[in-house]
Amino acid sequence: MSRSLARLLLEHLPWLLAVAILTVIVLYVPGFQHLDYWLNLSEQYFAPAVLALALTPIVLTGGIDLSIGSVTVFVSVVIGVLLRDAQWSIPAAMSAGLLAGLLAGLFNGGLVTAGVVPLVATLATRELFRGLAFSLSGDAPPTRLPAELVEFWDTPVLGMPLPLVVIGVLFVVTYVFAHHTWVGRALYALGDNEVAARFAGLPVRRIKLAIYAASGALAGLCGMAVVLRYGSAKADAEKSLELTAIACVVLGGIRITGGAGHVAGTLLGILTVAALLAGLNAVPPNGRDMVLGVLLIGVAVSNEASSRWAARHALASS
Amino acid sequence: MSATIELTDIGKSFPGVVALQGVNLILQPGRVHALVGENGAGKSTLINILGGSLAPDHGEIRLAGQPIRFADAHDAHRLGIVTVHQEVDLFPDLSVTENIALEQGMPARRWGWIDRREQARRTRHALDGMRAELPPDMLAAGLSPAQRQLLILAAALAERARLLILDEPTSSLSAAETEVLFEQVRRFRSQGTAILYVSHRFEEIFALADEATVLRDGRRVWTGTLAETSPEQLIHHMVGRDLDTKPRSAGIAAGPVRLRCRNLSATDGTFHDVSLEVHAGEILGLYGLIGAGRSEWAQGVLGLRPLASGEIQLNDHPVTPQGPGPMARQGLAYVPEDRLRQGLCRGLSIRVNLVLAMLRQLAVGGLLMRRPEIRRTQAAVQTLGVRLRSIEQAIGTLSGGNQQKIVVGRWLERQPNVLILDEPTRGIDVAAKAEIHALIRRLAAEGRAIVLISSDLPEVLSQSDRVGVFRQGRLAGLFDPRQHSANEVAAAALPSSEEIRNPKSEIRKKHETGKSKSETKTQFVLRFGIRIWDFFRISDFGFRILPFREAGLFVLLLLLFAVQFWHSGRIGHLPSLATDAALLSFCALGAMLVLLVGGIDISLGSLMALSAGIAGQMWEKNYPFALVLLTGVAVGGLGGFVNAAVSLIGRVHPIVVTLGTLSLYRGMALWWLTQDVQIPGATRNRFVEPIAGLSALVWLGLGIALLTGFFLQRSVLGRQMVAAGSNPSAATRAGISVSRTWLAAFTLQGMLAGLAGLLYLARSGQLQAVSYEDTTLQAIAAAVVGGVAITGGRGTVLGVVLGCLFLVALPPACEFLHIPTVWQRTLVGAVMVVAVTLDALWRRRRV
Repeated sequence: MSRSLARLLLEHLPWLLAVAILTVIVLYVPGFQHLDYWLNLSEQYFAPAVLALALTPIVLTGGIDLSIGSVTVFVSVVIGVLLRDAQWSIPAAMSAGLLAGLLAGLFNGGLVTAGVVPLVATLATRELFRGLAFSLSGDAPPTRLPAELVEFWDTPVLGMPLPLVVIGVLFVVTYVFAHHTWVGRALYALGDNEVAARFAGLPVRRIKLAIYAASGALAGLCGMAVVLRYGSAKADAEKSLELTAIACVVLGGIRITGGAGHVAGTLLGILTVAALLAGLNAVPPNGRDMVLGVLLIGVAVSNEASSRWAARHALASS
Repeated sequence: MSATIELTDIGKSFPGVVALQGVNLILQPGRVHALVGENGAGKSTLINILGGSLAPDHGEIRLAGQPIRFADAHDAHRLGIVTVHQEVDLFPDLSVTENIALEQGMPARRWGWIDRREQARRTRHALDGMRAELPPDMLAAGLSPAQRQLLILAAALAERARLLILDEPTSSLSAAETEVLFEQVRRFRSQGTAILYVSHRFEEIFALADEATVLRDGRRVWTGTLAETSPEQLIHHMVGRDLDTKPRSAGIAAGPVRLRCRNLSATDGTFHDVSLEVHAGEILGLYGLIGAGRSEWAQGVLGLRPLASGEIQLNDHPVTPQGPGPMARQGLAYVPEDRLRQGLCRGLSIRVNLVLAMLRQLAVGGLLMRRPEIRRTQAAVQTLGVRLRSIEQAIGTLSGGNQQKIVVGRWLERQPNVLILDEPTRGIDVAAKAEIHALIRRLAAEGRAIVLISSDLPEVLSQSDRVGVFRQGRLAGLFDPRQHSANEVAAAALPSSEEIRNPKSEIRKKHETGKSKSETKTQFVLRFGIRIWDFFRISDFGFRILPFREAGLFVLLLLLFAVQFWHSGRIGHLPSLATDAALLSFCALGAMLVLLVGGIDISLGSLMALSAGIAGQMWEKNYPFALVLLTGVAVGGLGGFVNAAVSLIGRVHPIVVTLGTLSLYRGMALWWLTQDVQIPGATRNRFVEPIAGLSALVWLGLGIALLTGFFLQRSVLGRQMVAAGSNPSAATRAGISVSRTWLAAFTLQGMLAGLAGLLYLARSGQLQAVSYEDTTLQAIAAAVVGGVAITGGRGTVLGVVLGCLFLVALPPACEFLHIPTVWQRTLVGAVMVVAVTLDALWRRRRV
């Protein structure tokens, strides 16, 4: 009995750790006991949340996308320039931005399916898209964009902040995609054993292309959000967005080498990171960076240990 | 005289597989002992136990009369047991000389530097022994298969061995080279070494060996002296089980042809000119040695391996193979040979593994419904008789036989009318084997056409209606198991000495003359195009131009400078460019060290900020500079060490660990540096003032680069780092501690980061905790542009330095080319994309 309980605890260790961290923050940081505060967080951490959801399928296959932060900024600049210099209408500029994000993602996917290691491919395009953002914005970054943008961003939907609604919808979509579609199932197979996935007839290349393209499109969405929120687009903004997003994914228990993890975990990871970064703001000067770093390593190490233990246990009992 | 090594009652099992059972083997000094048996008889397991890579579950090993347990392969090697494995496992990024040196432990002088003279002498000695004329400085990646085999034999035969184990040593050798090998083996024999010789080639065995042991199904079936034995008797022992080979009586009335192949050849020469037909209701067995082309043929039919020529018809319709998915839609399925590598997703559940090949068919509008999935799995598990606790348990926890049933069941769900089963009973127990056989017969009785690829001759003979034998990439003949004896079939699979001489080139030559004359112009142009593409894809052309990457970068760099000179008549920015490049090179060289061992560190920038912050504050307070420098380097080194240690102990991917320490070190830097560090100009002048035209920083950078290069090229640890990144498993076998090389690389990179942080401070005069955020990825970028492989083992100091210069020199050159400043960063990004893409394409050709 106690043995199976221990096993249950170990198997769900990633989530338990995240919940424990969240509980501590809610109990000890005064602001977190109010709902409004949480709702505000969704605006502040919109981009990391969306990008963490975009990264989840990619990490499940054992890949990674380091370029998402750059694509976000690139798309925001594309939209800004189209609005300011080309005088496009807002919907047209937004659609063009999304399309740019999608194309950027397709480019990443093309490199990865051509055989470039994902880490290297997206490291290079991270530089490329950041560079394109600088090139497009030129010497004068697009600022003072139409005021309607910010108004739209601030308009609640069904009584909830717009970013929260978008995150909610995206979470449901990602959840259904990863756990209830055949492509989602294929992601796990690919992350567990890519050769076996290929021998089982799964369209490995097309799937990879699709998830990197989707990640680009979602980064495009974040670029849109940047323009909406600030009414400007700066090429030097959002420096370490991708790293925050990766931290969410890892804290949520998605195995970095692929094949294991749950989208609900990503959501917990997002909540944990947001709560940590926001909640520890008041605590000693920038101690939150240290806490986040130590937690990240701690969670990763204990998750690894627990999954190894679980595997060994299962082997012995069969 | 006592035996060199004596194995008593050795047993070894793997999850679901009994590999060896009650095996006894005595190897006498000065005797050549042949080990024979079919594929999967347990030879490899026995060799691995003798060589120390596997520990037996049961039984005793006595070395010169003393009971012994080997800790690992290196331990056995130290005790004089030299093994040459069938799969030649070299360090592709190291030279011929170094590959030989690592086999014996690198000769070291004081302070861990390599004794190059001794190393060269040993290389000459080793190569002379095999009369192999290999260029000593050539990288092993550039050698042909025959040269690789010669190299590994030369390295092994140059040693003093108590026991020499040779596993299929002649598979790529020419007749002349084989003769030299035999001479060497006889020399060892006369010196009193015991030799275990594993081969399928009976001519060699009878020419060389004194006695032989035959293994079958993990048991020893026969041991005796060869002088009193004929090859036929040996084959008989190998195949054995006369009772089992009773041919199946059914299947005489074969149905229509389901699968027809005409003159099928692979582009890589693994099989050639294969024509065969399989009928509905028939079981066609395919027998042959490993590498004879059976599995390769199957993969060609499926579209997993490119075809050079030939045609395939399924149910009388011509088809073009496009991969397992599309072929399954047309009714053809393939159960692969290597269950663990090609068949299973071991960490996933039985249910997920079973429905893997029909996900799309199960989905309704893309959505998977759990209920039908479970129902199908339960039905399949019941029909197949899989023994399990729950369909949700991980498939890796099942026994081999049950795993195999799931992989077969996966394809049965697609209702194929042609099913190719590749080694379906390898490594599974007798009961499961019988169940699989019954299943195969049932499938044939249902009217499916079955191809049964197997190395188990009794299985092939008892299960098939007809038996095709593959030899050296060709279909050597078709046999009727009711009319031909096991010995005839077995003999057809063994290559004759004539074919051994140079099988690859023979096939290629025939491949070229074998083209049909009636082809149209379009076909000719197409084939010509494919030929050219193949040249780039398969030949080592790509590899040969690889070393010229540095030259290419250099030319590009000169072009950049020429542009500047053309426009301004002078290279005005050169000193300041050089300083920038020098500063970047410290970090990039560090990044290279870590990438070389196969790691990655993204905490570099934070670590620079932390170490420079701590040391910089001391500098600000006018502590002696030596102390400041020492502190900076020590803090950096410690940070790097922690990264490696956490990753190794916690077994977490270094990118996750350093993502954590990126945050941790940045937090520490912010916490420590409550205000910016300011160093007055007078204190730091000596670093910025030019010496002979260039700042002291540049000279320091050059010095560090030279030192790093010297360390990597000439020190034992440096070479071990490259070896560990190049081929980690071979490194472990050669007794290199991979963990140690990781610790060394991360620590050195940390020290370089500490130094770099301090020198950036010396240049700019001030430091904020967030100053170095961008440096990490810039350093990795410089390394990647300079040709360092992210997968480890490959990279040069020269390349990295040029990469740094290039990244630094690109922006000003843009200025002169009238490219707007704002496009510079894009250009850098584009250059990186091109660099990594070319690198990937090159590497793909090398494999």
